[in-house]
Amino acid sequence: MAKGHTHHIGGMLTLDALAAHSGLRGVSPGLKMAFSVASLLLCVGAADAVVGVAVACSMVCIIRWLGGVPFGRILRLLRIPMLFLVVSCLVILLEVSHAPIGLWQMRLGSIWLCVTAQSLHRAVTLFFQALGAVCCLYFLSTSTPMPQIIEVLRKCHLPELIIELMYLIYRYLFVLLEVQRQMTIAAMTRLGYVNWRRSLSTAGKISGGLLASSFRRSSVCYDAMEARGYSGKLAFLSHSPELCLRHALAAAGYCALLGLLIMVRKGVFAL
Amino acid sequence: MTEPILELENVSYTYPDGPVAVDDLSVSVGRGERVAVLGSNGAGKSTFFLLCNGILEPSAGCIRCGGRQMSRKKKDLIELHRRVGIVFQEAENQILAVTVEGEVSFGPINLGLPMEEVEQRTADALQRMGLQGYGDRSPQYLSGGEKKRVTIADILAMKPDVILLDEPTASLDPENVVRLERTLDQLTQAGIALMVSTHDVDFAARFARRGLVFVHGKLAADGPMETIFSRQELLEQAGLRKPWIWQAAEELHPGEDSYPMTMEQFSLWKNAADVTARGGN
Repeated sequence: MAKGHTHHIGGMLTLDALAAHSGLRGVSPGLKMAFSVASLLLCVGAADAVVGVAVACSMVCIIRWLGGVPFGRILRLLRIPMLFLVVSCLVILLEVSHAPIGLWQMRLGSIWLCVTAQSLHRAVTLFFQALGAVCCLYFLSTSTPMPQIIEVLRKCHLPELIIELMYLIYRYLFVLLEVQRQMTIAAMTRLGYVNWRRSLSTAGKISGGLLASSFRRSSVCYDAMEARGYSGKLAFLSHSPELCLRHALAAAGYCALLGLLIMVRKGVFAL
Repeated sequence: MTEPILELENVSYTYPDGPVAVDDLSVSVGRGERVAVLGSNGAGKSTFFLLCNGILEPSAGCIRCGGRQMSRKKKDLIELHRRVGIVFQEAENQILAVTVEGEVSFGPINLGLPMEEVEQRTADALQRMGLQGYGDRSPQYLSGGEKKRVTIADILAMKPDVILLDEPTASLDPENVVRLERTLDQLTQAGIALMVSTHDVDFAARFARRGLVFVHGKLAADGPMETIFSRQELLEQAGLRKPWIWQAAEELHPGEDSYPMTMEQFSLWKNAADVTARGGN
C-alpha cells in the first residue's frame, strides 16, 4: 500500500510503516505496551547478561516471526543503538590506573588503560542489559502504530493537552519531513550542496524556510479546523483491537518464564 | 432558481492590516446548485469562502443560511460551519488526524453528536467517497487523489447543504480529475449545492452553468458561463481565457455571440452548423 514516493523520507517512516503492517497489529495495544514495559523492567532489574541475551533473542524472534519483520530490517534497526552501546560499554570496560593491573593493559604516557575482570563483567552485563531493553522497545515500536499508543496513554489519564500535542506532532512530523525533503531536493538541483560551506548555508536556509512555511501553514490549518467546528477540544474516532485472553495468557507466560530464569540466575533455587 | 440555501447580502470584509478583500458582495446560492468561482490569485475567492463558512466575520452586510440570518453567536456559527463546508486546496493543511477514520470523525465529534451517530456518519462518508477499508490507514501513505477524497469525506460527514471546494483540481492528475467530476455529480444528485473556485476554465465550463467572476475583491459578474466567456473585456480584467473548445469553435465560425464550451456541446453545435451549411448550398 505505501506508495513509493513516501519511502524517501527515511528512518522515521520505517518504524511507522512496519507497525502499520505488523503481524501483531490485531493484538490489543494496551497489552503490547504492558508486555514490553514488563519485560523491559525485568530485563533492566535483573542486571544479568544471560537474562539480557535471553530477552534480546526472544524479542528478536517475536519481532521476526510474530511481527513478520525480516531479519535484515531488524539488524538495520539495531545498528544505531548498537553503536551507542558499543561506545559507552568501551568506556566502562577500560579503567585508568597508575599501575598495570587486570587482564589487559596499555600504556598511555604515565598512566595505564586496563581491563579488569570486574570491569569486563560490568561492561558485558550492561551491554546485554541495554540490548535487551532496546529490543523490548523495538518490539513495541514495530508492532504498535503511534495513534494506538496515544489512545492507550489517553486511557491512562495522561492530561488531554499532552495527548492533543502528541497527535498534532505526530501528524505534522510527516508533513514537515515531506516539505523538508522537497526543499532539499530543490536546493540540490541548484547545487546548494556543492561543497561543505554551501551545504551549511543551504541547510540553514532550509531550516529557516521550514519555520516560515510552518507559520504560514499553521494559520491555514487553524482555519481548516475551525471550518469543521473546532472549538478547543481535539477528539477523533479510533478503533483499537480488543484485549484477547489468548494473547494475555501468552504475554503472562513469557513474563513468568523470564521471572523463572531470573530466579535461577540469582540462585533463588539452590541447585 | 430553486429556494436559496445560502445568501450573502452586501457583505464586505477588510483584513485587519490590509486592503478591502471583499467589497459589497451579494450572492445567493440555491439548493443543489453548481457554481464556478473564477478570478485571478488574490481576487478574493478564498476570503469569500471563509466568509460563507463563518470563519471570517463580515465588516458589513449579513449572511443568511436556509432563510435565517446568521449572527456571530456560537450556536449560529456552529450551524454555519456545519451547513457550509470547505474543502481546502491543500489536503495536507486540512488533514489533521493520524488515521483516515479519525480524520473523517473530527467534524461530527465537534458537532457534539452521540458516538454511534459519529461512527455511522464516518462510515457513510467513507463509503460515499469509495474509501471503505481505508479507516485505519495513515494519511501520509495516501496518494494525492485519495487525500482529496478524504478531505471531501471530512465535509460529507457533517451533512452540509453547501460544499465550497477551493481549487480542487490543482494537484490532481487527469484520471483523478475525471474521478472528482464524477464525485461532484454524485454530490449534486444528493442535493448538495457546490461552489468550486478554479483557474481551470475548461473544467469550470464542464462543471457549471453559472459562474461568479471576482476582480479585485468585487463580484464583476454573476451569470451563465456563456455570457461570461463572451465578454472579452471582463476576461481581460479577471485574467481569464476562453475554454479551448470555445476558441476552436470561434476559429471555425467567427462572429457568433457564443460558442460551445464542452465536447458534447461542440458535437451538437458542429452538427447544427453542418446542417446550416448544407442548407445554404
